[in-house]
Amino acid sequence: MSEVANIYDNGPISPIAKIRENMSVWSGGRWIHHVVDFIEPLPRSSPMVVEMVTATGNTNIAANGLIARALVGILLLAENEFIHLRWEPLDDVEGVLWEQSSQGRFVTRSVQARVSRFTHVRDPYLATTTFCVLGMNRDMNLGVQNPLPVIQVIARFVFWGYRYLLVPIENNAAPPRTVWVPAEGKQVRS
Amino acid sequence: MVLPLVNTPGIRKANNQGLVATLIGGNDLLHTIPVNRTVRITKIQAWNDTGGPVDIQLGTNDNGVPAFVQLFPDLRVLNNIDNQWLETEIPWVIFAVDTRAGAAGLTGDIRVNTNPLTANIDILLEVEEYGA
Repeated sequence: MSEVANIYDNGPISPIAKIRENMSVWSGGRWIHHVVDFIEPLPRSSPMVVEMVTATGNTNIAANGLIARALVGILLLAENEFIHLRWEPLDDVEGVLWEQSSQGRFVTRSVQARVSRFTHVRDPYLATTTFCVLGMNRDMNLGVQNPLPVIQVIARFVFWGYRYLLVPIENNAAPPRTVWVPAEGKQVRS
Repeated sequence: MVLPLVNTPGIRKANNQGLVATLIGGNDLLHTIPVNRTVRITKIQAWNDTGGPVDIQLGTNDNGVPAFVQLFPDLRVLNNIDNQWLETEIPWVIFAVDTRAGAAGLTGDIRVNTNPLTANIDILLEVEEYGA
């Protein structure tokens, strides 16, 4: 069994690089090359749960309504901090992932997929929910859709995964061996 | 690693309306169904202390268009006894959104009538929802 996984491997979430290996991260519209300096887990636990109704100053989500995308405070990072996470809702709501508030994730030209209570049914390890965030002020934003025709008063999401500390490579020189990881979306090149 | 597929790949939950006490007018709403899902009942609990047996009729009404349609045989709820029906005793009746529901708001529902019509029969369901 390999000691590191590929980013979307369909098994329990595992680190995607080892300490002292290289990691190239897609962020800010370019690949930024780093050396991994430190890795530690972020286990699924109560501090890793965000409740989006109260976090956004609402009292409920309307029937078939939505909460507009907002910052998730527990996932704010320092510069050169990198997180690699999976997530799911604890309540019967759908999460909509955005990177840096305006860039939809899990999108094609015609659809933006969401993460719901059904995602784990055919994807038990939630590999299809994997996303990454690099550094300060390049945060993810979370929107919430209520799929039910009744008001819901709570919309909790839990996150878990790994935290890395990265050291940028001087002059952003591309290393000969590296792991390529997206930390934001990418559009089709025109 | 290959994991065994789940035979019934849905999510289990209580009915959306929670514990419902029936009203004298009948046609009480127990659960509303989103348009992307179908639902089956996996457990029924009912309490009756009206002094005599009451039959409950589970069905669907879809916001009144059409009128209430009974989908289960009458279930007899005995007075002052814990009445419950477990998954192995409940037929696999699928409740879905009526395709005519567009004007009525794209919802399906599970509703209950009592026979004779009476108030204060407490009912709680466990349902399994399929879809997305």
